[in-house]
Amino acid sequence: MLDSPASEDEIYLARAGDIDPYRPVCQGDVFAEVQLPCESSRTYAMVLSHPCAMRAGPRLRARVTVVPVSEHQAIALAQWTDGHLRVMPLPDLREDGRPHAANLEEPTTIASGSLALEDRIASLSHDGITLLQQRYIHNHSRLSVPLAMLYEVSAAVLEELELQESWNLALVAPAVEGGSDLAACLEQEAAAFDELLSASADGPSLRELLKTPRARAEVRRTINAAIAERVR
Amino acid sequence: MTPEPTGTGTGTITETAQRSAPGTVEGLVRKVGEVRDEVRIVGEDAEGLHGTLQSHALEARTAELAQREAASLLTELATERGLSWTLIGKLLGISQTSVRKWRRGQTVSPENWRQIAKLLAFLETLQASCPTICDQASWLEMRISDESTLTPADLYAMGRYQLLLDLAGLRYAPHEVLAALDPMWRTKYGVDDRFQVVLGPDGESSIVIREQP
Repeated sequence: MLDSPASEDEIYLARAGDIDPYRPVCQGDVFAEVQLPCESSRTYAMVLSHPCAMRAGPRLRARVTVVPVSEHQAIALAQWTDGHLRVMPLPDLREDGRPHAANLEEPTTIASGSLALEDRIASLSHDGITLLQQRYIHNHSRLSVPLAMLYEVSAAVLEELELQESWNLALVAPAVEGGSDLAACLEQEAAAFDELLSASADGPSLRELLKTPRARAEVRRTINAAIAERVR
Repeated sequence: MTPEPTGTGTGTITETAQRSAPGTVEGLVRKVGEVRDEVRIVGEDAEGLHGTLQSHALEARTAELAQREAASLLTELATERGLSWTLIGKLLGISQTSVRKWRRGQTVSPENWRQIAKLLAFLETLQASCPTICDQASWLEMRISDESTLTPADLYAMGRYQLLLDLAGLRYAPHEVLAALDPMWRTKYGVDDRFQVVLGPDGESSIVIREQP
């Protein structure tokens, strides 16, 4: 009924030492040191807000939906499809190899400002994000939606986040290495990137074009050219 | 009155058959059947030879491109060809974690290096042999058929380069390619017709349950 990844590694984009602040916050990101309402101590939490709904312009909305993440019994790939339906398995989340899971039963909202980029410990791949969406929808509605369809409706915004990461790697990372303030640079470049994607003087904006699969490659080339121009 | 031509070569085959077996329908049937068999065998031979030559050309170009730095090849794929990093990982059968490390300058293994060169060689082949495809990166991401979720990128990831080139060259129709890939494609890779994607009230894509006729 539900799907499983081909391998445990497939669900992740980055973990532990591979994490850096240049990828914008996205659904499926796991943060440490999150203070959840009604919890006495800080814990791990996963962002659950849909990537289409978590931003207003270049900024995160004031509050984001998260679910708690905690240690959980190991869930074999074969068990993803017909068991443990109330959680999103997170195998090998940390270097110690202990299995974790996000509890989809306990969504809550927190101030987005309380998510510190230096506390991010994992980001999910596109495959991981659609698997999370499928399990969340099923848990709350008993409806099993095909992954391909979930990806189709999220693809444009996931593409946008990947392009923004490229933008940040090219424009923010060197500035930070040169001593500039990370948060200020990220905010400034998020605004510049949003302006580029939103501009629509001569027709549809790049953001609109990203919604059309046929146009995505051209949008990527345009943004890469803009990055090259800025770097020059 | 000169009869209108009935199609390329058809007249020649018909005339040959009539000369070879004048006067009897049975003779004509037998002769045309033989010609058909010969055409099929020649066609299969040509298809096999064409595939072999394309494969050799792809390998030769891969070897040439593999002499360039892996980082340079990746940059061309992403910035000039317009492939997303996610798509590059999918095409190469590499985890997104690994692709992310490459972007940040980590070493690419010799085998992956070769696969990156092969991907670029494949895109060059597409560009050269299929001029009707104006944007190779976009083509890779489009569904092969409205009836299947598979894209050319999926076939590439499965290593079905020849099938893809035949699809791109319009030598086979989409459903023929899917059938050649897997006779059970409708079951395994068919579109789930319970749902459809529509434009939602907020202008974003939404999934809705399809109304049954």
